[in-house]
Amino acid sequence: MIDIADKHAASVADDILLEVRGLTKRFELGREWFSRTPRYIHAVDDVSFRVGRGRTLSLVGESGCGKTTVSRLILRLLPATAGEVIFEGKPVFELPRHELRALRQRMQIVFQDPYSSLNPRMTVGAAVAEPLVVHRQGRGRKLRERVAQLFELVGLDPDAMNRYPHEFSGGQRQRIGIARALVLNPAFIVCDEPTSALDVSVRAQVINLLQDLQRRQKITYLMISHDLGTVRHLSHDVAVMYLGRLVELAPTETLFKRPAHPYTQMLLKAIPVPNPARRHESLNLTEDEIPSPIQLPTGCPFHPRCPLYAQKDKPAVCREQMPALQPVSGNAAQVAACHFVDESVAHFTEPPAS
Amino acid sequence: MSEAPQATAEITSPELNQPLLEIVDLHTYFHSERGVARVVDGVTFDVPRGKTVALVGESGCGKSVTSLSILRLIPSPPGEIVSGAIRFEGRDLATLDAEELRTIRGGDIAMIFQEPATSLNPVFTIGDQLIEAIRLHRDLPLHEAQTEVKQALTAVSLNEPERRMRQYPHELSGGMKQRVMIAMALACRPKLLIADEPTTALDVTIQARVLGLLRHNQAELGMSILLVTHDLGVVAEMADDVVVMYAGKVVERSTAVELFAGPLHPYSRGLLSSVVRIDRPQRRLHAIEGHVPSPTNWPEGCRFKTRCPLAAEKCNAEPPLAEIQPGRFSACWFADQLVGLPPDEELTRS
Repeated sequence: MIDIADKHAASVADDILLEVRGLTKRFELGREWFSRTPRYIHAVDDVSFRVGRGRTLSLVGESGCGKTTVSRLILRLLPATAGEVIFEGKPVFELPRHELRALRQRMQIVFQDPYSSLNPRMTVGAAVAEPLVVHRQGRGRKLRERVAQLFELVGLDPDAMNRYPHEFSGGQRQRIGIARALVLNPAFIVCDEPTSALDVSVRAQVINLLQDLQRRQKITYLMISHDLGTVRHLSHDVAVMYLGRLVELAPTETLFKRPAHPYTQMLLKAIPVPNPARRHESLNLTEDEIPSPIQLPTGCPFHPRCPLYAQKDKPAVCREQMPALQPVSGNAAQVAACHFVDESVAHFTEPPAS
Repeated sequence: MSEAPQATAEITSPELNQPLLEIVDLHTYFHSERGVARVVDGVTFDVPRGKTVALVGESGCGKSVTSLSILRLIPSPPGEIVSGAIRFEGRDLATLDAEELRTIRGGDIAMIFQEPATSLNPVFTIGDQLIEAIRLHRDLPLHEAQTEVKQALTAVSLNEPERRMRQYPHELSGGMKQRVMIAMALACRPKLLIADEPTTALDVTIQARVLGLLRHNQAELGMSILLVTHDLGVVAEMADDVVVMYAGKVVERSTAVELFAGPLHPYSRGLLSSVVRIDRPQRRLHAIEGHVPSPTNWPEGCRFKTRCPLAAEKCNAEPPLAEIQPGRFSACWFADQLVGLPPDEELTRS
């Protein structure tokens, strides 16, 4: 599996900033009454990928698929059960405390909700300056200058530094969150649903800002999002997760034009398109709820919901064997974990362009 | 009275040609220490029988308060329906007393909200809550109500309806809870369903399922839907007519097909072109600059002028919501110039 991830990454970029290998996280749930074996939730299971410098990889999937957990593991905000993360050549999980501290300056995060991620009692200027103070990287006038510079960079008036978060709109607050993430000059930012809480018109402003920043400063993003429109617009590569596992990894345009995994196809079909001429029929889901991650289905975890499985008269291999990621019709840049991937990709017909 | 005359009365009734719901110049204000927030400030539109009307706009535009005003669910004080009429089958809901309102709420007009978890009572089973809702409006013996509930749950594609009835809300996923809410709303065969962001909290796959269900049940029951949403994808998927709101006012009214083909108000154009498209790659997103003004302090004249690329001297006077083309209304002085313009074309002052 790592082998395939290698090929994939090689075709993407030579300058690898972040590499994730076999990342796994299990949460123990405690035991059932009278049972000796503990139960686990497999939040993340054997996830591997690479992100080139200055590029954006998006992790997508339904709620509970493990995409947020992956980002927390990479930042070492949660301990991983297994696997490793290599960031700028360093093994993140093995770093001693003081080196971790230095590393944290290079990796930042922007959260979904700009309302709850800012301290209401702190002026926004102080909030943006805080990382500099914590990492002892400036004080006095220099600090103020740096903060003012960042305010300008994200499109806010530096004079607003002394105001409090409640005086700003949602979009402005998200800009403050972005300024705070940028203040230490990071190489890598996790954007966890950065635009989900914002209105459409403001969302476009923030998306444009993230894109401009990447162009200017060569920042690498890991985007966590369920909004596939934003994902298509912002990312170079997309990784689709289902119940803790990677089911497809591909360059963005390939994924949207020719999704290989039946789950990716289902996700894309489910999204309403702002064009009344293209209304779709209701989705034909055999089973519409995601199975519980505590009791994963045997074999391919997607088989109970898979239209192809139903169509092919329920082949036993889907129930019995976990499919590995494999290249799609010989193209190493696109990998998908489906026993019938070539059939699946041929099966997908793109809706006519509007 | 025998049944026959009633039936003829229904057929000949002029009401059938009238819209099911007419909102006429509705003003809902909120009073606070900081002044009066004119959240809904002169809103007029119709919901025809059997059709879906989408009420669209960004947060703070007054779309939710408009929908809550219909069933008089505005907390008062601080809220107040200051003026306007809400005619439902000819009766003005704004003047009904509490008793009359109760028979309409959940009966002829049902409502579902964004967060199904907060609308269900955690200490009663799903079955109990549905049975209560049905028997409140229909005089049915318990076992008949139970059968109805089973049917209602099946109609929203919930598997094992008997087991669901014995379960408590926390045992269901978000998508299932929303379907229970829809089942509850539809159980009394409402003529109008008000759905306020019904799928915003759900995953796309479940959203597709819920929207499909709403459409299917609408066809079955012949009900009207007032869909309140900010998601233009959902609007395109569901709506016959669209009402676009900005800063407490209706800025554009049109059929969905015509609106998406070329909006006649700069704000609707901005909204449409700032949507990130899933169906095609884009280079740079068009963003509406600035942000929505505060309801205690709307700009004078046209309320969109502070963000509008076309803003001119004229816009200091308030533009009326005028019929620009048959059935298409826009509150913009320059709406004539927008006719026939493709939706992506950037606006500049000529």
